[in-house]
Amino acid sequence: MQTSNKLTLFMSFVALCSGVLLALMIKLNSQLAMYSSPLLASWMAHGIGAITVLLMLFLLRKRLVCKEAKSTLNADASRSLLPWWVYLGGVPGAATVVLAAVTVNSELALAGTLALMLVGQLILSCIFDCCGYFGVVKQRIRFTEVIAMVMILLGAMLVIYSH
Amino acid sequence: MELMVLIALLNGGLIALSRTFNGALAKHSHALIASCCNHIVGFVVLSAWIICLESGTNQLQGQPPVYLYLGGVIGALFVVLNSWALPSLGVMRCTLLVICGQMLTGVMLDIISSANGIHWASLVGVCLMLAGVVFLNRVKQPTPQVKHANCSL
Repeated sequence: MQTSNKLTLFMSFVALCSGVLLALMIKLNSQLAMYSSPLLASWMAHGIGAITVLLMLFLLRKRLVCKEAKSTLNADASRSLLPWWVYLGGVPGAATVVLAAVTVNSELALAGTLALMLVGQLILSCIFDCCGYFGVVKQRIRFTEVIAMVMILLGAMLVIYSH
Repeated sequence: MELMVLIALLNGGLIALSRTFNGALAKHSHALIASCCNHIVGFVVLSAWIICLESGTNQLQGQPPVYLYLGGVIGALFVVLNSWALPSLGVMRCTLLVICGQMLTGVMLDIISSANGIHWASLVGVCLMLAGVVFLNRVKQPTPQVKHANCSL
């Protein structure tokens, strides 16, 4: 339990950091979109992102292969059972850009779109956690977590709508 | 209007779906592989969309500064970190933390870039979110953790 709590704390930090990256990415991409369109900017970002990861995979290949060898049995067993949809994370990701462009240009504007997207995201997240869909470890959502969720959502709304 | 609200909500759901898929792939292979798949598949889908449905708008107007292209690099790193963290945090916790990081950085960027400071409500929002994160981490994780042998970099 001790180690698992430490892991959770470390992973929480990783998730926070990824949020920082997300904000920076959105900032840069939205500026890039001013030179073309949101769609084209996202297309370029996906292309550049793909090249970046391929490069990273190439540079880290030795370390990765080492890791792989250590847990070959494990990985092989689990990979052969991997369902087809795990590879399709890019599809909803790409659709998001197209749909966001639609709603930002409607009466909702940027603030409304952002706020509703956060809410939609959290609703589905809770459903995935509760029901254990898509390989997620099934877990009950506790009352304290709901309070934390309300606090964070409220804070986010204040930030979004104070612009 | 109602339709737009529905689309925006659904769109948020798509984000959660995308991250869950990537997290599942990262759990069984590697976060880098997940990010790689995500970007290649996304690139193909968007290419198809642009070729089939958008004509005329797919041209750059002017010469954007080179640093703007870094968005793609940062995005790739985002997916790596996010799909690394998601399997052991659960989708909801991970989503909450990403939202916090995102909003706090947004406010930070505003403070740096705008001359006339930021609205007080933003500061209240930031405090609320920070309190929420602290609160979230005071909650003991109830379920046993996912095995994490192959997900670390």
